[in-house]
Amino acid sequence: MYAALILVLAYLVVWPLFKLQSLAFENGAAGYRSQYGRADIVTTLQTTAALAFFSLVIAMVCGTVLAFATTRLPRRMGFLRLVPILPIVIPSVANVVGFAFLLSPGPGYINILLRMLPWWSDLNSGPVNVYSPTWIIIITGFSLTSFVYLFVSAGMQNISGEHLEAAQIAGSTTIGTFFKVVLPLLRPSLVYGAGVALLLGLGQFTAPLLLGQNEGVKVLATEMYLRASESPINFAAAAAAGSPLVIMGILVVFGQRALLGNQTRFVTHGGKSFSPVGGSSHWATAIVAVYGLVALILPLAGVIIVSLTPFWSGTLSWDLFTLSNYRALVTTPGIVDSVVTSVVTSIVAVLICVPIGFGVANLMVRRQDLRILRTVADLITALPMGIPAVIFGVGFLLTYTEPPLILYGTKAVIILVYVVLMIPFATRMQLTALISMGDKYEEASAVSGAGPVATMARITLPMLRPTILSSIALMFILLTHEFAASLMVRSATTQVMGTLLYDHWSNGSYTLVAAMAILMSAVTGAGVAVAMLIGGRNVLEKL
Amino acid sequence: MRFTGTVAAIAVLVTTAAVASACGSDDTGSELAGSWGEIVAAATDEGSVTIYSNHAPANLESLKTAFESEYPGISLNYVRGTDSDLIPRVEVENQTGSGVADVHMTTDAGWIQRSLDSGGYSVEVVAPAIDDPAYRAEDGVLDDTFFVTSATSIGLAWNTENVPAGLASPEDLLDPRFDGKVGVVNPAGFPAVVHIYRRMDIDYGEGFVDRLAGVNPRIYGSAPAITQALASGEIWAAPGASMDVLAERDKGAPVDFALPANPIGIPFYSHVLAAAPHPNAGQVLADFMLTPAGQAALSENYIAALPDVPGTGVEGSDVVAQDIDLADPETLEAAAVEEYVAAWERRFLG
Repeated sequence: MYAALILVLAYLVVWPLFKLQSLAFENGAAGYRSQYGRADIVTTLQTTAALAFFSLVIAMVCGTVLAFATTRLPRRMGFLRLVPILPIVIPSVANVVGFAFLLSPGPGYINILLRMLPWWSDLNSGPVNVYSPTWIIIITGFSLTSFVYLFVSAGMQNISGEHLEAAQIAGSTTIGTFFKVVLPLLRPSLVYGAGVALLLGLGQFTAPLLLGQNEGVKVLATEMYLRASESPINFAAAAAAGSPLVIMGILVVFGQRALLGNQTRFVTHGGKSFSPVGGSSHWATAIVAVYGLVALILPLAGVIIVSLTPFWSGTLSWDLFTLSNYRALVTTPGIVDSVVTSVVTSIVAVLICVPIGFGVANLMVRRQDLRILRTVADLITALPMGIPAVIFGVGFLLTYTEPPLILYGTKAVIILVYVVLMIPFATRMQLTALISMGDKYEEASAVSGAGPVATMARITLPMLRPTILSSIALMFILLTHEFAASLMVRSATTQVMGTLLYDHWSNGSYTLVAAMAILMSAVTGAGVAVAMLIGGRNVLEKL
Repeated sequence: MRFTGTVAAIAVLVTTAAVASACGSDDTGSELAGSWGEIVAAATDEGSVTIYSNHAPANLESLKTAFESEYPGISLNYVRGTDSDLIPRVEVENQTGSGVADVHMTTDAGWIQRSLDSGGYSVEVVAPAIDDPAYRAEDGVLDDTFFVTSATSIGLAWNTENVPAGLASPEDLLDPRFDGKVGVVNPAGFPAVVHIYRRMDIDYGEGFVDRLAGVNPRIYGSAPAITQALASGEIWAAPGASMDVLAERDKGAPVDFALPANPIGIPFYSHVLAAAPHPNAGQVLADFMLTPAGQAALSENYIAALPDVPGTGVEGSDVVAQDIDLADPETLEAAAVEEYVAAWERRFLG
């Protein structure tokens, strides 16, 4: 019956991708000719590559420095360890519009402050243009920093204190130790983190879509969206636009394996865990605080200010402030519904994901005999990590607007695409927990006369409970602010929070958008609070 | 452990099937009743109606309030989007039979013609209000399906803090002081906007659009986005602004609006959709939009489809929406629009 599980997974994950590609190759590859015959396609490809590469560089540098800095935080500043992870929790849509309110060339609040400086006082706009490719790259780099941080800080925890002490005894300085010992030992984490950040950068959707339109900035992910939402809908061209991203996803996964090679060279576990020489530093506090200020607090402040005004204006005065936008959250059609839809679809998707993840994890750990099935399951459950969400969104839109299963405009299609996006998380977390459990408990249960059902009910599931609860909490957080796939599969009246916010950004009022961004952050914040209650205070660090 | 896999697989299949069926659309599957009285009764049973529209958000909100006041048993949901947002959705809903919208409002003359040619998107509108002589159905209804509901004039808008003297003519916008400070709508996916740019070259002077590109305008995705940017001061002026700037001015935003000597008019046409899940409520809404109360709400600060509706129309003129011609659909064929957009993007986006 594992075969049945794999068939369901293949239907959910692989079938939409296959349908897209077969459509792109129909009629003599008309989809490819349509998409790659466009006059601006070279610019689009260059912009996509530049966005991926330069945002990766920013993320790698910032993520690694932050990972090192958080290990050197003074004890009373330990709470700052959460700061580099928080941008993952703040909805990306809210974050991006926050930067727009700060750095719009005219009324952006930071730009207004910068124009007060003597050397920029003659400017009437700028000096920063948030809509330019440069700033889209910088904002994307900041958001990817959190992902790199997670991988690097996890790797850093595995570096033994002996290595660092040896370097110190040999007379190396802190900086010298960082470059000569820590960085080389971090190579596996850096390679893996770089791979994930590169894929995320290539498939980056939110910042180019929300900010790039003003300057005609196009990347492959936004091209997919445009082709799949124009009249008449051109799914074939959308599929063709996404092909390089699919190919890169596969190449990066194989590239990571090739680059890491024999991983035993990087075994660093010793008697003592990572504990940097030289103790805590105030510069570490400063670095983490500055990142928190720039990546979190400032954009949130921009959103809050605009949400409290009747219209977005660079000229602020106390008598302008109003709560009418928050009142409009209740009276404007669709907003409350979008919150309900986001929460309900996320919960249902998570509940479906857990048994899938449990089944696949069992197959991977307990059934060494089913080698082919295990390999296929491994590949299928890894795919959604490597392939951008927008591709699955377009694939699902295509698949479920045709017989036999027409789910257009329903919550079901949102749930299904959410399930696919979360399968890697559900599987990997339970897989890791099962591996660490070993098989001694189950053998003991069997020896004591318990059957497989009793063993699962009384031994395996109770032991997996903390992991399952953590994965539920984390998947819920990630899904409540999902945007790229949701934008494709929503209908005009079945919206989630992010897609409705985008509609108001494109066609409505900026002030209502700001209030919606705060609402969205509050809903996700509530999810984080619940996650911490059931998954423990360090639940975010398990991301 | 074989059992574990089985349980998981079955759980997934059962849950997915349950969710898929539980989350299906709320299609009522009702049909159009006979007499108008029966249609109104059936509409009340349907309980709600949804309109897709590219009209100003504030006007759609007013329409909702007015409609629900007239028909307390029917709630009106509106979805505001551009033609490029909404038309693909109308097509998908028609193709899948999974209708969400009951009424659709558009300014895309090319699509209206294609829709009429296909005959599959709309049903005949039976609203009694169409027969009111004041409505001038002979000028406002196409093939008994599409009916004109409102119109706008494209005009000049500016931020009053940055341009205190205002704008007198489109030529004023070409002043170098507006370099990077003018906002324009990207015509991609917008045949109506393509029509506006073509008209600018006729009504605002030959080569106007090319010269406009010379002041490095900032590009936006819709007219409401331009209005928001004007209010914020992100841009200082716009040559193709919609009349919804007036609604923002009423809220206290530092913006103003004026029509040039040769204003460009754009009519909004509506139709009741063949895939409407609430066909009776769709007809009732169509009727209401053509009554004086519906027009007062929908066409505030715009051009009404009825004469003498307070708060509507152009000052000093008795023009109604039926007087404004729909663009020639022949010039808005998909290939022609795509060609124009490509050329426009080369000029404006480099």
